[in-house]
Amino acid sequence: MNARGRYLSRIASEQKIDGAVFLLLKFCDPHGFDYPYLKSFLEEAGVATLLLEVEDRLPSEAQLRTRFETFVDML
Amino acid sequence: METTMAETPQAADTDADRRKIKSVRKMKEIMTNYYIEAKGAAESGKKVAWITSGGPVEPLIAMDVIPVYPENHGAMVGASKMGADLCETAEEFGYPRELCSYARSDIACSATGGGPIGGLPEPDFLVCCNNICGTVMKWYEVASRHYGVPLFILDTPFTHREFSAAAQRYVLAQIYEYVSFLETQCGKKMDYDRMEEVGRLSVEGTRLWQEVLDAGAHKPAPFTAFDAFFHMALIVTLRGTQITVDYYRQLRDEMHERIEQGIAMVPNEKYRLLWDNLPIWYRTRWLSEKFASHGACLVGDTYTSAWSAMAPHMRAESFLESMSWAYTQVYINVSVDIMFESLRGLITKYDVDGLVMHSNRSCKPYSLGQYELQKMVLRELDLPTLILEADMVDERSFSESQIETRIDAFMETLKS
Repeated sequence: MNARGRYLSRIASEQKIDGAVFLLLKFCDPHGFDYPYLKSFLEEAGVATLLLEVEDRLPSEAQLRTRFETFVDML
Repeated sequence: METTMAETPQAADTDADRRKIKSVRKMKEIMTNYYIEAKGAAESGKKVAWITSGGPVEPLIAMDVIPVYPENHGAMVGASKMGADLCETAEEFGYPRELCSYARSDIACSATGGGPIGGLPEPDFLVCCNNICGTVMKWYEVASRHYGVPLFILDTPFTHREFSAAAQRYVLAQIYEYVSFLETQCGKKMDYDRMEEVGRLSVEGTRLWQEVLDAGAHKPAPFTAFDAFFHMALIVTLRGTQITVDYYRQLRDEMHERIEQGIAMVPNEKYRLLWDNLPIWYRTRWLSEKFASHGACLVGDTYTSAWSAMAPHMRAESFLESMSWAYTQVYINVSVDIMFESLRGLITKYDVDGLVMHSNRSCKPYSLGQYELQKMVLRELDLPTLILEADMVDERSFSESQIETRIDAFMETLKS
């Protein structure tokens, strides 16, 4: 039931990951329902997360750049 | 709300008391007792299973497990106008707003003990059937993690043209697996004599529910879709019990009496409409009064008919086997072409002047295809359609002024 969460925290520790980016396609049920628990598994493993919600097209490049830069600075 | 109601023109209607459905009181009593029993399961030592609205409940009844329906609870949340707050709570946990509002409000109630009845009784195990949507599988996984209880998934393949022999074998194998799962969870064997009895009661209850809904075909209708939304709770939650059979027999008899006495639910019924999709639970009264102010009555609906539509596939004598047919071919687990045939049947039976479709932001499988169905209904049946964009529980997706304008405009076209 929580195999995905365990898998993510395992690869995060094996590969010494500092941060993870969730790309969530709006209206996608499977990812939408899994996001809160996957996020909590990663946070428990000490991995910072960034959520990026996208619709049929990506947000503007400038907006993405700012969000990614802020996230990397935070790490 | 109550005081403004009294000031509306309908209040001058001296027949209002006569129009009230007397069985309502009995129904409330049954549902209250049901929830008291479910909430007290821990003390009485009974097992509780959460199950999806389209799931096969009969084996649970036969095993003396109390079935609890998060979707019925979701409807209560909506009717209590607590949906937006609870949905927002789930969104704070990280669940996106695009997810089903039943799921969001249920997840919030589980975590906070909030909602109209202070949360549902905790499940001993979960039963999820994906004949109504794929959403329930992920939703029930959330519940399974939250409560640390096992989850049984019954996978019912979508029927595009026909329910193939391979698909039938596939579903039937899972039904036997379901029985074994229950035997493991309950630590006892299935009593097949009891199962047969429950199956017989389920068939009878389902047929009686059909007869209740059929009353809406009478002109004027003694019963509306809004009444069906209220009275459906038993066919969903307690299918396969004597209580349900007795209640729907009483309700059907009351409907027949109303027909004999010429009691119409909407005074001066002029226009007959059919409703599609789930109710807008927090606005049923407003909508019912809005349509009634135009002399329009919603005489039937595709939603509550989904439970009675299982009847032709059910067999009392080989109930478990017939469940694979009955549960796989429910209204929204079939193609738009098959849905259109059901819709055509209802439009003809209820002899309606128009179709009102609730494009429900929460229910993707029900709402996807509505625009196509609208075209088919117009092309093949020359019937006007109104589409209302809203949500079954989350009031934030309901715009009163926009909906009112659309209803008024639609009614003008019917009148002209």
